[in-house]
Amino acid sequence: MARARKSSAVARIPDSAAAPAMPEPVIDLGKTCGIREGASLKQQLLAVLEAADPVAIDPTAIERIDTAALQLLFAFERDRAAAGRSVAWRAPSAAFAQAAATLGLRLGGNAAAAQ
Amino acid sequence: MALEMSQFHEAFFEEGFESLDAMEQGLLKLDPNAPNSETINSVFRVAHSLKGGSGMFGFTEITSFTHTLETLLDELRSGRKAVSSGIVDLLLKSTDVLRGMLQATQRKTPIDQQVVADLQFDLEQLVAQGPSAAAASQPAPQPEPEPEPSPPPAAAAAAELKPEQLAHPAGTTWRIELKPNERLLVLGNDPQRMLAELAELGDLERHVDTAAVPALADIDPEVCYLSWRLELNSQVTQEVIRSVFEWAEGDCELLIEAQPGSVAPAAEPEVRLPAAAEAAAAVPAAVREPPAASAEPPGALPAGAAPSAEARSASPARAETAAEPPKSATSDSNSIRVSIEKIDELMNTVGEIVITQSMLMQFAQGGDAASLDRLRTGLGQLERNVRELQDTVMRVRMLPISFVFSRFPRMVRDLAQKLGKQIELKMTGEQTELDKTVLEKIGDPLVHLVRNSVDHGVEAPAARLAAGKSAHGTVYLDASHRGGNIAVEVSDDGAGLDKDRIQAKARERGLIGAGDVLSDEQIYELIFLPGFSTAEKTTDVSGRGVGMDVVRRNIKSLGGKINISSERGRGSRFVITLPLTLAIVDGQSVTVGSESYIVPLISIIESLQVKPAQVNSLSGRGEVLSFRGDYLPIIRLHEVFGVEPRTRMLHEGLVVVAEGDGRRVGLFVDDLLGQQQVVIKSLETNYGHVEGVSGATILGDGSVALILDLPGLIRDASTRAAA
Repeated sequence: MARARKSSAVARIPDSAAAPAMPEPVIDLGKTCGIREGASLKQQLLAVLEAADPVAIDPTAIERIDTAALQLLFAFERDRAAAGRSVAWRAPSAAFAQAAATLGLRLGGNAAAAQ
Repeated sequence: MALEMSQFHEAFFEEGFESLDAMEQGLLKLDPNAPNSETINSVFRVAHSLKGGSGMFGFTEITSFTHTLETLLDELRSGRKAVSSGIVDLLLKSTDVLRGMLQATQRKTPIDQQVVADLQFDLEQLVAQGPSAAAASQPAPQPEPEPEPSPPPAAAAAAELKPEQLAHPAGTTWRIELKPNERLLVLGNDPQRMLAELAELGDLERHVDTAAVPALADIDPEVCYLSWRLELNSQVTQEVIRSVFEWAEGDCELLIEAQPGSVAPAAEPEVRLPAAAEAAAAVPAAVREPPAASAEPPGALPAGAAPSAEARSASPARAETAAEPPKSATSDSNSIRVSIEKIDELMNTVGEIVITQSMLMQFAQGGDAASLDRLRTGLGQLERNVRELQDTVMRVRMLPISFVFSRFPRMVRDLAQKLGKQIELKMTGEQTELDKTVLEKIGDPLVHLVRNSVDHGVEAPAARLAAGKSAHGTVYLDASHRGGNIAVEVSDDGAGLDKDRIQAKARERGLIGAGDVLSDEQIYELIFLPGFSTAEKTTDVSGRGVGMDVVRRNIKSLGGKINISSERGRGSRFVITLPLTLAIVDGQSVTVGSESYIVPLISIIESLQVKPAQVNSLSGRGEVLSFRGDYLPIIRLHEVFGVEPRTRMLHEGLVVVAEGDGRRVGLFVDDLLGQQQVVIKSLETNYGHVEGVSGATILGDGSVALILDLPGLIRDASTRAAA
C-alpha cells in the first residue's frame, strides 16, 4: 500500500496573502513547528515581512515548537516592529506559551511570556 | 573545517548497535500497564544519543528518523501520551529499522527508504494524535510536569538526589551562562529541554540575550543565535546542574558558578568555604569554562581560576566527544574494545611460552643433580606463571552469554504473539562467560531450541487451561559453569515430548523395527535424525530449514553435546554442554611408530589391550573389535597416516575406544603417552585441510603432533571400507 509522506504540519499561507481585498494574512504554525520546518517557516515569514498591517500568526494548534522556530518568530516580530509594523497573535496554545516562557523569550507582547 | 570524521564512524556504528540492543531490552521490559519512567528515559537517551551521533556524521536519514522517534518518546516520557502495547510494538519495529539503517550506512548500501518512510509516517501519526486517552485526563496545558510521573533524565536525577548531592539546605544561587554554538540545534539539542530541566532543580530566573539574532532574512534556521544568563537558586551541587548539559557538552559554551555571597555548596565542607566564594568572585565573568573543566565544585580552586585557552571555545576536538553517547546510555561495564586479532596474537605467544617451557623441562631431565634441582624449581614456577597467563588471556576472550541471550526476549515475544500463546521467558546465568568463538556458534542452535520450545513445547492457552495448567507458559534459559564446561539449558513447562508419536513416526519411516523396544533416551535420540519431524505441519516459525540434526552437528563441532529429558505434560529440557574454549583441548597423546597424535579426551571412552580372540575380520569390511557386546570397527592409525608402526599385531599395541558423531570405533595405536592440555594450531592456515585431523600442536620436544578429529576419521574410514 503506497502511502504519501505526510507533509509535516507546516503552515500554508492562505491565498489571501496576495489578494489585498481579502482578510489579513495568517501564518498558521500547525501542530508541530521545529527545526525541520525551519527553512519553510522562514520563507513564509519573509514573504509577509514587508506586508502592511496586520499580519497574524496563529499558534493556536501548536503542540510542539522548538527553539529554532521560536527564534525565527522572534526575529520576525522584532524586524517588523523595527519597521513600525505589528504582528497580530492569535491565542497561543499552552504548549506554545510554555515553550516561549521556558526560553525566556517574549513573543506576542506579554501573551507568551507569562510564566 | 574539514575534520576527518570517518575514523570515528566505526565507533559510532558499534556504539549505535549496542545502543539499539540496550533500547530493545529496555522496551521489552516496558510494561504498558505500569510503565517505568526510568526505562522510558533510558530508551529516550538511546534515541537521543543516536540522533546526536548521526547528526554529527551527517547521516541525515538516521537523524531524521531518530528525531521522530525521540519526539514520540518525549511524549511518553512527559506523560502526555500513555504507553500502550501498540506503541511498544512500533518502538520495537523502530529499533529494527534503525538497525537496518545503521547496517546500510555502515556498508554504504542504500537504505530501504520505503520501510523507513512507512514507519516514520506511523510514528508521526502517533505523535500527531495528541495526548492519548489515559494521559488526557491530566490537564493538557500542564506546563513542565512535576518530577512525577516521568521526569526527564536530569530531573529524574534530581528526584533521586542522594544527600551528598545536596548542597546547603538553604540553597545556593548559581550563575549559569549558556551560549550554544552553531551546531547545537542541528545535533538535536534544544536549549528548551535544558532550561526546563534546570527549572525543575529550583527557582530559575532567565535572561535571554537576543542581540546576536540577525535580521530575519539572514537567519540560518538551524543555528541558535540566542544565549542565556540564568540564575538558579537550588540546593543541588554543580555536578547535578552540569548533568543537565551533558548532551550539549562541546556544543555550547557554558559557565556555571556559585554566586558570590550565596552559600557555597557543601561538596567540600572544610574551612575553605570562604576561599571558594572568593575564587568564584575572582573569576572574570567573561571566562567561560567548558563543562568538562567545571567538574570540580568551586571549592577546588584551580578549576575556576585557571581555565585553559583551549577550553574557552568549543573546539572541533571537543565536538567529537559529543558523538559518544553518554556512558549510561550504553553500558556501565568497565570494558575496552580489543580486536580479536590482537588477542589471538597474545594467545599465540602464550602458546609459544608453553612450548618453550616444556622444552626446558626436557633439558632438565638429565644432568647433575644439584643444579638440576634448582632448574626444576624454577621451571615449576614458570609453569605455574604460564598457566596463569594462559588463563588470563583466555578470560579476555570470554564474553558473558548474555550477548546471545539478549536476542531471545524479543524473539519469544514476537513468536508468542504470532502463535497466539502467552509465554514468559525466564533467563538466568546470563553473566556466565564463555569463549567468543563458542559464543558465536552457539547462537543458531539456541535459537532453534528456543523456537522449538515456543512453537512445539508450550501449548496454546486453551490447551494449557484444559490440562490444568496456567494459561501462561514459561520458557527457561539458563547458563552455568559445570566443571570445565558450560551447561546451557533450554526448558519449558509445555507438553513435553510425545514418545509415542516419535516412535510411531520412526516406525513409519523405517528408522526402527516394528518390534523394537526403545529406552526414553533412545527415543529422544530419534529427533536428532536428519529430516525427522513430528510436527503435523511446518509453520514458518519452526520450518526454517535447521533441524535438530543441524543443532546437534553444530554443538558437536564445538566439542559439546546435547542431552534431552522430558516428561509428558510437564515439559522438556535440553541441556547443551560445551567446552569453555576452542583454543585449548584436553588431549591424550598416543604414539604410532615415531609419531605422536593427540586424541581429544572428550571423545575417548576407554583404552584397552585387546586379546586376539576379541578381534574378527570381516571380508571387505576390515576388522571389528568385540567390545562390551558391541562390534566396533578398528581404525589402524598407522594405515591412515602411512607411518611405520612399532607393531602391527593388535594384541601388542593398544586400542583406544573413541566416539565421534555418535559412532564408536577402536583406534589402534602403539602406546599411550600421557594426558595434557594442548594449544590448538590451525592446520588449515599453516598447511591445508587434512581429513581426520582437526589441528596440530607443538609438543615439548618441538615436534608437531596432529590432533585427531574423530568424526572426520570415522567418515574417512567408512568411505575407505566401502571402497
